[in-house]
Amino acid sequence: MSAKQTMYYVGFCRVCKTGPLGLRRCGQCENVVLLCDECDATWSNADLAAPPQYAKDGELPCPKCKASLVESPSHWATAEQLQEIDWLQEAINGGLLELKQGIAFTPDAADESSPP
Amino acid sequence: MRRSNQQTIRLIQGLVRLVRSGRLPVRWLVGLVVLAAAYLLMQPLLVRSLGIDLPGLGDLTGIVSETPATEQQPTEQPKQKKSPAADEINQILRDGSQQTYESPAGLLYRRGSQHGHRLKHLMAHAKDQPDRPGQHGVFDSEQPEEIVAVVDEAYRQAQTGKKVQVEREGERTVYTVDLNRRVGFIGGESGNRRNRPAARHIRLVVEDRNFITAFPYRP
Repeated sequence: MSAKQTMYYVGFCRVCKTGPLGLRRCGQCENVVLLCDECDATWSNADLAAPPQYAKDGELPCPKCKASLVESPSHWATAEQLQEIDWLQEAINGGLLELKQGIAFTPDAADESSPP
Repeated sequence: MRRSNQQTIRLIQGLVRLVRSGRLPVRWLVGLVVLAAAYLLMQPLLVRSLGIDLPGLGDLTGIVSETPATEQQPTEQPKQKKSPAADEINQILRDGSQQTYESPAGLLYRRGSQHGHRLKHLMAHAKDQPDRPGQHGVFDSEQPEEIVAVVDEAYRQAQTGKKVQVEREGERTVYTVDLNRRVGFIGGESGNRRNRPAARHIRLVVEDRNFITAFPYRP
């Protein structure tokens, strides 16, 4: 089992009503998006009323450079990396979003629960 | 006669004997009957509102099994041959196959999600993740085939339009299906704070026939 990953999130997904909206950083272009930890719906900025983007053919591409947001080196953004995101800081300062810290959905949970 | 009925009759006969012998006043018997009736009426309501499991009257009188003794399973069962579906599921879950799995109800589980395959993602709801923010719906079963079967049941019921709430968000359709029985519980940080309430709904997210996610849910 891999170590639990810390994730910063700003609320919960309105599509699946359960997944935390984590801040995911593209490993290639360093763009940060809001990614639902449960259903993979993605928003490019704080406008959560806008229609989300969804994974296509199993791929979850960065809206900016199309690199995979799932595969390494993409990762959950750190606190320092989030300081550089203007739209996020504006939304937090404006009271639109609230930043929280939590544990990401563990990808290895499936392996733990599958029969021997 | 069903074993539960026999047990109930034996219980009533015992109470009548106690009343006749004078060891149990009639008003106590009436009180017991009233309490039992009130419990019968309130039990489903309490289970639903508090999200806790309460025993039925059958459980309280020690009636556990509905299976007659003559129908009990032999201790040594013949080895069941695994179905082709089980093999396919195992190939994906254990061997990391990226093939698409089509469930008996026609849901397509493809590669995708942070778990690498939607079937793996579904199985992440077979266990609680107590430190996951918010709710984490957990199925009562940990067996992949059983979980796929419950999701299929929800999908089929959603197609009939019976006890289902439908939401559309772009290409996605989200069904909240009331299966009218406990299918799991709510875990995660929020669920554990509330003592893991029972869930009888399934929230199922699909794109056409493509499975995205499903989990036990409390609307």
